[in-house]
Amino acid sequence: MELKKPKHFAVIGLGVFGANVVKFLHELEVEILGIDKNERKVDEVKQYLKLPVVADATDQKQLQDAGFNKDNIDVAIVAIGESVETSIYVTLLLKEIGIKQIIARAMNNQHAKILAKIGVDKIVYPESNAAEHLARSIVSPHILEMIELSSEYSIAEIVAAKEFYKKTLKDIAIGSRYKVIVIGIKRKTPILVEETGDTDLKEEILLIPGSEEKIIDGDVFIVAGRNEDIEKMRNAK
Amino acid sequence: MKKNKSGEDPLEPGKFYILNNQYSEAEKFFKNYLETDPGNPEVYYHLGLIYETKHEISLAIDMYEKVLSIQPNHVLAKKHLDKLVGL
Repeated sequence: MELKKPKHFAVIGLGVFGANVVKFLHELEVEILGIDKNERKVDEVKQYLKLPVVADATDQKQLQDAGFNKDNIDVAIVAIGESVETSIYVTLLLKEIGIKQIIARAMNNQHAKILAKIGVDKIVYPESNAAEHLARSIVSPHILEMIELSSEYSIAEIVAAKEFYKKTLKDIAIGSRYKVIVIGIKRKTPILVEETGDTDLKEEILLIPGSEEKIIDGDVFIVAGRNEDIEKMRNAK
Repeated sequence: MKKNKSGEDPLEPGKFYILNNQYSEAEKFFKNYLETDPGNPEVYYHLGLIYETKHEISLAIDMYEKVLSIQPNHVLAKKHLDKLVGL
């Protein structure tokens, strides 16, 4: 059975986090209703919104007038970051209106617990995630992203070490050397834009690269393996 | 694209190095070029591309910001900067 992809999103609160959520959703070509009581914040992202709304999301009537109902919105994202109370109150209103899926931003553990009790479908911790990302980028600058599959295994993006440049995957023998599997290579390839003559970069991912694939400066490996083996690989110079 | 009196793009050698993944040579070329033309936004833009490709992100951001301080409507520098800052 094919899962139906949600198409109609609402983002409540258009501060820095909310505005970024809007921009990334826009890239996924979905319809977004964005709401904030601050007109300037709505203006800043209105080009990405199907429906920009300046309104007070704590007012049920204003929410419903803006089009919030279970038929119009598949997913609502509560991105409010200034007040825990407002975030909780708006989330309750969305539940009452019958929005099918609610994702809410938590500012601290207490906030997250309350959101969970209300029955929010997903809770995100942008500050905590950013802190983790920052810490990792300082401690392990060669690891760009890491997704934990379990406490032992992860998928990680690792910048290719200089010693790998101009060598093929076969030459490097990553599998036997580091006991990780290369599932992809992310590469930014310089291109010449014919119409303008400008130089630009094209980002591509080579999935399951062949053993004869040559590593070039700036390549990023997407590897899967044990955390300790990934750590060893990131220490390659 | 700016051209000199003989109709050639003076940044062509640097672009050639970039397109052929010879980033060290390209970096050297554009840095040298800056000595003769320090206010050229295209030079900073290309240095930004080199650093971005090599994952030297803070340097790349510096370069794109420099481009926009000289030429605020530089579409490509704005696009790359937005993406890197969004990271």
